[in-house]
Amino acid sequence: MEIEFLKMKNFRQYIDQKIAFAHPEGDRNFTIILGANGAGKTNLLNAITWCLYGEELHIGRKYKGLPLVNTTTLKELKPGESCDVEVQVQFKEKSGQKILITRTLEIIKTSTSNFQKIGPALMMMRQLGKDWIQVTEPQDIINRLIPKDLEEYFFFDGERLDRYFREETGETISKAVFRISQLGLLESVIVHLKRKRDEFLRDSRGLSSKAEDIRAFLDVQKKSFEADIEELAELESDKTEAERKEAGFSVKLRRCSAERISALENQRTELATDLDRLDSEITELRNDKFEFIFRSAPTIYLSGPLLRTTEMISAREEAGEIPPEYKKPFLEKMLRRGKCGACGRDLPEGSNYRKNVEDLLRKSSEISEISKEIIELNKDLQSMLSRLGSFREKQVKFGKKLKSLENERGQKSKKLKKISEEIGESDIEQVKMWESKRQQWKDIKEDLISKIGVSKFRIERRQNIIRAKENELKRELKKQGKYEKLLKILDFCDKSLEAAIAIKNAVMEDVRQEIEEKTEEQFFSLIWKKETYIDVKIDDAYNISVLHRSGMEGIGTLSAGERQVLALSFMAALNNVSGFDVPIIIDTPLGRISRKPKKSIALNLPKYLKGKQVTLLVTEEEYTPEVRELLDNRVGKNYVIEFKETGNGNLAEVVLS
Amino acid sequence: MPRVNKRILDKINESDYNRNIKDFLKSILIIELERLVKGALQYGKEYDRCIMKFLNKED
Repeated sequence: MEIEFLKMKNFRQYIDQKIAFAHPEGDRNFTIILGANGAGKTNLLNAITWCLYGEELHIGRKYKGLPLVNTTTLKELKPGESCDVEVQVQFKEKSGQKILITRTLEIIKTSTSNFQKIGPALMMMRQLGKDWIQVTEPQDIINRLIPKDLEEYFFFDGERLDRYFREETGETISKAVFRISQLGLLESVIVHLKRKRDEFLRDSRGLSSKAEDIRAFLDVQKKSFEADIEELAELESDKTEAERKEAGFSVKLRRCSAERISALENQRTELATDLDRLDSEITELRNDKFEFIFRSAPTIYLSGPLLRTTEMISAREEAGEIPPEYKKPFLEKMLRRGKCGACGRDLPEGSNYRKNVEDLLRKSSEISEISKEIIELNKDLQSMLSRLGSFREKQVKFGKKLKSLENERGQKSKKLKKISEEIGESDIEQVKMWESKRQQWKDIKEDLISKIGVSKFRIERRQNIIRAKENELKRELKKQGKYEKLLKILDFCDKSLEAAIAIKNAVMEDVRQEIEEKTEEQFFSLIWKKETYIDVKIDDAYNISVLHRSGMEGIGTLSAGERQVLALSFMAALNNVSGFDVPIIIDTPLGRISRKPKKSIALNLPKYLKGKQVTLLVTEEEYTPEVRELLDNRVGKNYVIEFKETGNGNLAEVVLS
Repeated sequence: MPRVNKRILDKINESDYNRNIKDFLKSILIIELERLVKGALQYGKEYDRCIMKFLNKED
């Protein structure tokens, strides 16, 4: 990418200036702008950064606080008049596409000594074929072309170069390397991926343990359930056996030769059958009673408010407030016929009678629907309350029937007990033994029935628990699906993290090596004491060392010029590895360099920056006849800044030399 | 117009990681670049979207 031109209007000392730059292709890729100290060289850099970022990034102390509008123009303005400060930079990409960036600040003079600023406004036009289109969000595009925080690696400042290795530590240089090679992007990817991974890990931990806990709990419950079922089957089997044995002894007793015993046993069998029937009837009745109470409960709880509501509605009905005295269709019919349906009076238009009927109709329309609903509601409420009235009656009925059945059962039980006692007290030993055995098996059977009841209850409860837990597990399994997905995400994040870290390390090492090689190559091509220093090293922490031939660290012994050359070499190396195709502008590159090194730099810099558009902002002292001669066949554009001080301010003009 | 540094892209392409991981890293680098250019602080939603997109391709 190259800068085609820089146009300035009323910017600092430039009233109306256009500077075209040398093209990077071919040998003449250098633009020289020669100017004395203070003539306006650095303000050319400032014009570019103001245009791109809205800030003068290279402003010196001299200009800080001064308005960037040209003071001559400002002074010539009358109050109420305005002028524009405008800087345009036109870039041309390698594809040939052009980008024109314009930043404008409107200055309105409000009084002889005051002015007001409007803006600045930024506009970007991009060439598309023969047309130019305006680009939205131009600042974003500029930051992609030349990121603001990397600007200093493209638009160098000689003074800054001199300070570079005196002020910057390995850490700050490392940051510069990170910025320029976009390792910072990889670093952010790693940091953010780690954070995302931790978030996912937290989520998955919660999910997995719950599902696993439920599954473990269900395993235990299901094993217990199977054991319960087995136990119930055994109990049932034992009960059947006990029943069979009991029945066996009953049969023996019925078949007893003693008639009395046989008759008693027959009675007992009948009583036992009756007791079974009674037990079943009592259970059924108890269930019905429970169901009835359960269904009536809400009405019982709400009986007070329900009663008050019906009383209120009934009172209104009695007072004749609801429903309305006259029905809507009746009133409508009267008006249609023009005759009162009650008294037969005529209802002519405009008459008071007619107005009364119309008034009634209006009121009736408003309240008839509501009244209808209230009356319906009252019917429902009364029906509910009447059911409530029968509640006590029904409950008493239930109670009486239950008591009667229980009494009957009690009596039959007593009879049964008596029969058993009588048979047990028989003087026939065999009968005694049979009865004892029958009673034994009956007790066993009853014990088993009780155990079966407990077992069934336990099984039912466990079934409910299992059902509930299975539902919970299903819900968790849905989450488990998410968990499995989360595991995949975690795995993916881990792989990506591993890749990002490996790539970052590889790029870092690559960049470090390349910067080291290029800095060394450039340094030794520019430096004049080629025998004094033998190596330039950049360690992993980006600490630069220049090895003296004595084997000692030599960076501290470098002269100002040598330091500037090292910084220039390093900056150029950074520029090279950045991957950004951006022109280079160096302000006072040779300011601190003495005659001999200047010659060396002038000879080698073009080789090093071949193919790049290079602009050097130089002073007469830097751009010596020797340097000029060495660079002559590399310079495509040669300018001189003509500077003059006027009573109203400074003026400068860049002219071709 | 340079977007993600060519050196980084080359290193990703040259690596032995599977294609999906490589594409994911390139996409997420673009997200970071956009954040840098726009000065945005948030990254979570963009990362989630990108992770899900490439995770589905992983299946």
